[in-house]
Order: sequence, then structure tokens, then C-alpha cells
Amino acid sequence: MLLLFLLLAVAPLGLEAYLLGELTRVMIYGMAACAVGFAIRHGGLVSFGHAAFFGMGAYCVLMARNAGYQDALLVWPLALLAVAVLALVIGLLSLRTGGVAFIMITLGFAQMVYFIISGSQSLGAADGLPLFGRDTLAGLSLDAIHGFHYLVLVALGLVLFVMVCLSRSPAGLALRGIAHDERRMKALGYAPKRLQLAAFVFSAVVTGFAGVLAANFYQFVGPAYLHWIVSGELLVMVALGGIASLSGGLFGALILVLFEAIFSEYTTYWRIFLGPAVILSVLYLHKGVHPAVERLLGGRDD
Amino acid sequence: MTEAPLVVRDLSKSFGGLNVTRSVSLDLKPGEIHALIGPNGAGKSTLINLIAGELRPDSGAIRLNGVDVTGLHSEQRVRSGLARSFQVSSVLKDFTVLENALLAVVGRRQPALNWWRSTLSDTQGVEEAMAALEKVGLARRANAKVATLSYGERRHLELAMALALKPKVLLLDEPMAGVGTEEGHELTELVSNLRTDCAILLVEHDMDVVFALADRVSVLVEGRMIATGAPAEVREMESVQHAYFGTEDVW
Repeated sequence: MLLLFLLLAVAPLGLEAYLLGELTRVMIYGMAACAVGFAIRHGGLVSFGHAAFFGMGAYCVLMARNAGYQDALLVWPLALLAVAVLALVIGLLSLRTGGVAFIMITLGFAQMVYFIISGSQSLGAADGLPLFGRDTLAGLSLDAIHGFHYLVLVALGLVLFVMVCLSRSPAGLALRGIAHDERRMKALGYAPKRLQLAAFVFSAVVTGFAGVLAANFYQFVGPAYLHWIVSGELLVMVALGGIASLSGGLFGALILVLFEAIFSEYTTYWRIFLGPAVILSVLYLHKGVHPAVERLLGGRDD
Repeated sequence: MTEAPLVVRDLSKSFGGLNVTRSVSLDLKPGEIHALIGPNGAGKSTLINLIAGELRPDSGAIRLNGVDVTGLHSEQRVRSGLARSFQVSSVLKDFTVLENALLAVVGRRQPALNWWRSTLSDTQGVEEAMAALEKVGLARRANAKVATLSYGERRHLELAMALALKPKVLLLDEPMAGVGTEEGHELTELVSNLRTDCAILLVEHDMDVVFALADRVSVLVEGRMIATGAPAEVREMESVQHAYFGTEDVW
């Protein structure tokens, strides 16, 4: 884990802009995947609708830009607030179900968000809109990829730190218990739905944050952010990285982006290679790639 | 006079056309171990689930320390002083023994649930959890993962978790199920010592255990409570012998 962070930290010194951008992308999607994994690990909530939150974060940046606001310190917190409200509504309704029904209903809500936003002309409709430059941070420009890379790195570190604290707290422990055995936790005096809703909203807000960063990274916002394929890819990253550790999603994102980078050199159908990789990972690594890597390096998986 | 810790009045429950619980009434006196016996399919587990709040009764009332809890969810009943153990050991396997016990301690303290501080830094919580583990003799295994525990040890942990909830009323659903004779004796003694802490409703198949522990016995047959009384009395009742054991003498 530390090794990966170290690599990400020294990367700007040696890499050309394109490759560095790929790593920045890994961190952004990795953050979202960690959030999706968090909801599964803490609360047992498999969401197939996180694209809605990812896209919502991105579109908030666009809406703010349309309204003339461009500073991160103002725009980003407001974006996260909007995502939290959306997640609260979707979570409140979706949590009335469980299991497969929960997967489908979150997908349903995400599709609703997709069609509403991709249908509004002022937000670029089906084509999306360019942003013309990144948001500024307290007046500082983030347009250079190096600076932006470090900002994303710090943001990712912060998010993972918060996740570690949450997971060790009594609420986090209870949520893990709920993921294992909801009935048992009720018999210990816990109200699972409330805790699960909180975990769902937290996970959504982190995903929304990743969406905000993605909009700034690509300097473009379009319906592709909201597409259900994003939800699917985030789940694939989680499956690859595993949920045994909080940072599993980051490793999943790394593998996915590496796969895309390497195999798309040869064929546009690079996903043909991804499928078997996911199957192998699920079959043989059981808990995902991250613990396997840690074992290889002689570390412990926590 | 204060009311008994647990009072069940005219409780009924049916699933479709099947009347599983038929107008059952039951009192649990303070400090008593009350055994609930009956043949397979008599509705013992349903009754336990009704009292614990996992099932809603069609009619009837449940009072806990004089407070009507019939409309409360199971987690709310837990916070009112009702704890249960499960028939199939359902302690959380990926967690350590201490974490399991801590979950119970924290669960009772709800809703002031902390989101930030590490659970293990809560010294008072850890102390309470350790005290519960001490009571069942699992303190030295506190940091072991539950997956490495023997079946009997898991049953002990199950008890410790129920105790950590500091209940006034404890529902024990076959606490000895599946353990060997020696561990069974150990558990029997443990449960016997618990009666000073809380009133216990015990579901148990093993008649030796029932007679060793119970102050009173209630017999449930086809959803009806056909007898309640001291163990020796109930044993002699003809209706019990007939309904429960047929004509054969299995005592």
C-alpha cells in the first residue's frame, strides 16, 4: 500500500504527461472503486448505481461553471452536498429492499438520473460540454498535470485515511457485522438500516468527489459519466482488487487501466482480455489482487 | 407489586392456515430459569422469535418489565433489556472474540454510536467486554479470531455476547445444541450461575439439562401451552406424558 503511494508520489518526476495522466486516472477511478467497495464491506450493500453519484459530482462542476463559479473551495463542497442529498433520497428508497433487488433498484435510479440529465439542453444533452480549463484552488491554477496529480494524490490519501478511521470505529465495526449477519446485529441492539444509509451516503459522496476530480481531469462533462457501464466498471475494479482491504479498489483500478493501456495498443476489443482476468482473480485469488500482492511482498493483509 | 420481568399474554401467530402459536401466555419471574419444552414442530422457536421481536404476533401482548413492547422492533427490545442467543451459533467468524463481545457492549449503548474513534481505544467498552468474556471463561482467547475457536467455545462466546448486553431477560435457544457431554456440563453450570443476573427462558431438548437447571417448566404442544409448573409436577402430568411422549415412558 505504502509502496504504491510512494510510486504515485515520485511518478511526476520521471513520466511524460500522457503516462502521468493515466496514473491520475487510476487514482480517480480507484477512489470511486474504494467507495463502492466500502459500501460492500461495511453494510453489505452492492450498488449498481454509483455512476449516478460519479456523474452528479461531474455535472455539478459543469453547472457551477455555467453559473460563473470556478473555485474548488466553493464549488467542490457544494457538489459533494448535492451528491449527499441525491444519495440520501436514493438510499432511503433503495434500502427498503436488499440483495439482488437492491442491485437492480440502484441501477434503476441511476438510469433515471442518466436520462434526466442527458435530456437537458443546458447541460449539453447527449453530447456533453467542455469545461475550458480546470477549476482553480483558492485562485491557484490546476491546469498543469503535475499539480493536479499531486492534488488528486492528497485527496486520495485523505479519503483512505477517513475510511480507515471509520472502519475501526464502533459504527464501522457494526457495519461489517451487518454485512455478515444482519439478523444477528439486530439481536445485539443495532438498527441496520440507519447505519447502512449512512454508509451508503458516505460511499456516494466519495464517489461524487471522484466525479468532481474526473470532470476536472478530462475538462469535459458528458452523459458517459452517468452511464451504467461506469457502475459496472467500478464493481469490476472492486472484484479485481477485493474487499479484504479498504484500498482494494485502487488496485483494481490500476489493473483495469493498465489492461486498457496495454491491450488497446493491439486491439479495440481489449475487454476480451479483461473478462478472463476477472474470472481468474475471483476463482484463484478469492480475496482479490491486493492481499495477494501484499502476501507476495511479505506484508500482512489487514 | 412490580410486574414480572417478562409477561406474555394470549400470543397468537399463524402462517397462512397454519396456527403455529395459539393463545400462549407465560410469565418469567425474577431470577428464574424457565424451561420451554415440547416436541419438534411445537412452535418453540416461533415463540422465541415472537418474544425477541423478529416476528410480529397476530394478536396478544408482550410486556418487558411492565412496559408493553409488542410494537417494538427487535433492536429496540434489546435496548429495553431483552437479549437472545441463537440456536445455530452465529457469532461473526471474521472478527476476534473481543470484537464480537465489543459489538454487544456497543450495541447496548446505542444510539450514541461513535463514527470516528477506534473501537479498541474505548477502554470502558473493552473492560465491559472483557468482563463478559471472563464470566464464560474466554478472556484468555480474547484476541483469537472466532474462526479458530472450537464449536463449544463459540457457544460460550454466544453466551458472553448475550451477557454483554446486560439483559433483564435472556432467551436461550438451545444453548447446548451440538456440544459434547463435558462441555455440556460446563455450559449447564454457567447458565445456572446466570440466574442471579437475569431471568432466563430456556429452550432445550436435553431433559437432563432441563431438570438440572429449570425452576419451572412449560410444555408447548402444537402451538398450545398445555402445562406449566415445577419440573417434578410437570413430569407427572398425564396430559403432558400423553401429548409429548405418547404412551411410551422415556423418562
